Amino acid sequence: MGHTIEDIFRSLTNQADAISLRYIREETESLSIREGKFESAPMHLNEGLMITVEHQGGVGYAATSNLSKFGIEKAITQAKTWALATAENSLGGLTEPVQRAPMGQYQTPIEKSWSDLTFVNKLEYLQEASSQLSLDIKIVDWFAKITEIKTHQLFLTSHGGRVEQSFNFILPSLGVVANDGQKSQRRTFVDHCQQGGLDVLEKMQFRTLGLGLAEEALELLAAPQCPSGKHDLLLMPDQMMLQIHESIGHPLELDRILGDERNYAGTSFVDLDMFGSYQYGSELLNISFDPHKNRELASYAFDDEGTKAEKILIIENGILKAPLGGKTSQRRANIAGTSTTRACSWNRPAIDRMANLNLEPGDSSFDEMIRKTEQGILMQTNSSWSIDDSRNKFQFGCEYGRLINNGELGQVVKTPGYRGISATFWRNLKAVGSASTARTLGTPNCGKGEPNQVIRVGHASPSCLFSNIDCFGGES
Amino acid sequence: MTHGPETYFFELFQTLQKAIGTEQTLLASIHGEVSNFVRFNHGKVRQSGTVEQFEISLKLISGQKIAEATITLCGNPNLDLQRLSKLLQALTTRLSFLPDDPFLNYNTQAKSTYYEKKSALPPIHEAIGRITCLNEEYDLVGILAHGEIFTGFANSLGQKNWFSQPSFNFDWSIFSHSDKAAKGGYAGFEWNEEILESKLRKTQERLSLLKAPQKTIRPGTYRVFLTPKAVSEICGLLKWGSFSKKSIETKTSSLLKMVNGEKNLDSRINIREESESGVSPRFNSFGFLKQNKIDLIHAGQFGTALTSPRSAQEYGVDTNGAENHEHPDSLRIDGGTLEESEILSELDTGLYISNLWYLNFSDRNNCRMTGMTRFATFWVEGGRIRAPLNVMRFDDSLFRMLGENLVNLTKSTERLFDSSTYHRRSTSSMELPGMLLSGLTLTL
Repeated sequence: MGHTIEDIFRSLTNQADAISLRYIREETESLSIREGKFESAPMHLNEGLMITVEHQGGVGYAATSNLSKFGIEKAITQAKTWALATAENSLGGLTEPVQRAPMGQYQTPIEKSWSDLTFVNKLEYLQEASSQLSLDIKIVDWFAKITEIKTHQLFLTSHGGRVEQSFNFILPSLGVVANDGQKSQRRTFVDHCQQGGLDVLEKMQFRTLGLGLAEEALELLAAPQCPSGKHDLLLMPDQMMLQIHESIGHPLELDRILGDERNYAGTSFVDLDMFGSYQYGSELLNISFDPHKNRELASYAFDDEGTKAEKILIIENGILKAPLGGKTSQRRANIAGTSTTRACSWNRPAIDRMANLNLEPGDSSFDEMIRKTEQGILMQTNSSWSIDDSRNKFQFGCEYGRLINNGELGQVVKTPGYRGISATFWRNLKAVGSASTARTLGTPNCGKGEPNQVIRVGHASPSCLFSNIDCFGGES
Repeated sequence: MTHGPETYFFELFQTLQKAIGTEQTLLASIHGEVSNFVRFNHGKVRQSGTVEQFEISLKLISGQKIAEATITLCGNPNLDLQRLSKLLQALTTRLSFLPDDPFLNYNTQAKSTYYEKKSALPPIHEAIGRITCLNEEYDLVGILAHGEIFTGFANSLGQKNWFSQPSFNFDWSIFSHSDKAAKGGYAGFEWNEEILESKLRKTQERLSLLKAPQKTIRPGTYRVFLTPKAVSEICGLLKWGSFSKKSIETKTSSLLKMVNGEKNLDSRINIREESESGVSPRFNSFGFLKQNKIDLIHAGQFGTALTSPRSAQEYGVDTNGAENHEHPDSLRIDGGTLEESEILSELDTGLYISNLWYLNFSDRNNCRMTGMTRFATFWVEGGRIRAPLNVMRFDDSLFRMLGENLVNLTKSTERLFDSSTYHRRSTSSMELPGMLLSGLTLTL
């Protein structure tokens, strides 16, 4: 199919100053079990293309699932009409193709394929994971689910560019609810999505994770509420990912800084003058945009404008260095950025999106971080997230907490939460865990854009220790 | 599509169903749209384009087994039929090794419906010219979404349902400075340039209130007025599982204490899912029709849960036509007695909150939620707006907010069309009053 589309596209490229085509074919297959019973196994084949035309000073797009010559030609005409109709009313800096003729390819490395298992074997695999969850009569609901997504993407430009990328995403999830007749506690395993297949599931020991989750849900039922007040805070990787995502990733997106998102996702407390000098966090803070990290969910070779993806440190030793913004935004803002112009599918235009955004490991072991904490709280697995539209005042909640007293892990506490301000929170970073504490995580659910888009992002992080954070629990 | 989406879908289905076995039942749904999206920033066009997308979902059922798949349509009848036939064969094969679904439940009493809304949408390119012209001096940012949306259902038992509705939704903010903005919107089915101009003018006029020096207040408990738009954010959070039968039975609904009779809201609170006055399709993907009115909360007490066919089967109750997600689509809250002209004087001293943002549960067991104020939020003293406020975080329980802290609801309600466009344009809407609360706890 790809060659046919390419042949048609090549025959039509003289119809405007510059034309690009982004074709996507995405096959999704999910399998879910709830309370030990088969729930569903839906399949989804989504296929279409977006044409972007730059013509006489304007830009327009048209997306269609009609992949014939008629469909592609119609899309070019529609996109060209938009370009002409909006040229006079458009923001500056949108024209000029960012990459005239990018060439390259990418393929997710897979050691063991999930697809190669028979349906029965997949179901048995999931049943095994699910069976770990039903530990006690107080467990009132539990589920296990695995989704595999195969995405094939072809990007063509009228100047001869051709980028072909194939991705294999694996999205495992487990969840358990414990209830004591009055209140409920949940433990989940959901933000561990990566590229790969069965190999990813085996490395995370997916089939045996459930028991720990169920035990912790039961522990939480009997636990006291998390105490309120200023405490040292040890965040585990599955909460760090949310902290990085919301209070570093989004505020550094260049299109937010340029105001595009002010009506929906919001603006940013960061402005262009801060890059190069702003002390975003303590000297221990090093944040990378790393599109090449093995198996991380948003790894790729080229972004959706055709810019080759390269790893860069966007925060180095606590100093803000670069925004998360692709070539179009970089041109508008006159600042260097990252290859992060992305669209969620063929039916949405590309905008600035964080991709793999990672906190680089430090040199503290987990035990060292516990030992250096006199009075603190460990928090694990995000359950609640809320942040203002400038990405500054935040409040996050976690599923599971433990007190740290005089350098030792203590009692389990429930409904742990903390709040702070991005602009100052990262300056309280007191210790960064070594690689031994790090996890590679990812979520398929980052929402942004008008029209709205939900996209896959990856975050790798070690555990991190923060000082003097405003913590709280639930109501008794 | 050569014959229009309705004919196209039903003709495809007619052919497809001939291929199923006598013991099998086929359900099919189509979702489609031809949408124009124009995105604005600084009063100019940031991105513009057209999206044409059509998807068919097939559910092939045999006994208690169900195989399901969704596929994009290309609009060429021969090619689509070829691909759908192949898909149907794959589903037939799949049925042979799928386990039984113990909670499978689909409508076997054929009930066909037809709804086609005739609308007058704006000539899109002229509308853009008008919008940019009216905002030459203003920093407008937002999106105009516009075009036809349709949904259809058919099953091999003879049921046909169709819903088609061209509509527009222009959602904007006009910025004064930094994060200070007034929000506005114009959505519906009959585009009227005079109404657009009037709504834009009203938003522009409110900017003068935002230019005053901003005030910062300390965390604490304050008397507040929430506009219907702010109330919609609270309802938007409650949509996620609070009214769901499955969430109630699995003990995860944030309203569990109300279901158990431990907590009630103020007796003036009536919340309904009111399909008959909404703008969403009134059938679901298993062929059940949505109940016209469902009292979710009646006189402050929990009423009836939204119940999907699946939950109905699992928990031994009747479905009321909800989809599997069991979210309300056409939520309505009854108004009270507070006149528009009395809002500021009744608020007296406190916060006038136009918009809330990014709500989430901070303690689901107690329906405690947190979120931010956004856009035009004002400090009011002695019944007069005194200053715009810096954004503040609230963290409070719904049981307090709409319980002992509820002073009144506005007499008039406002219809709010959902501007969400995740995956496709939403057809959800809410009809809500404003709310005056004696206290809302601000934490940051």
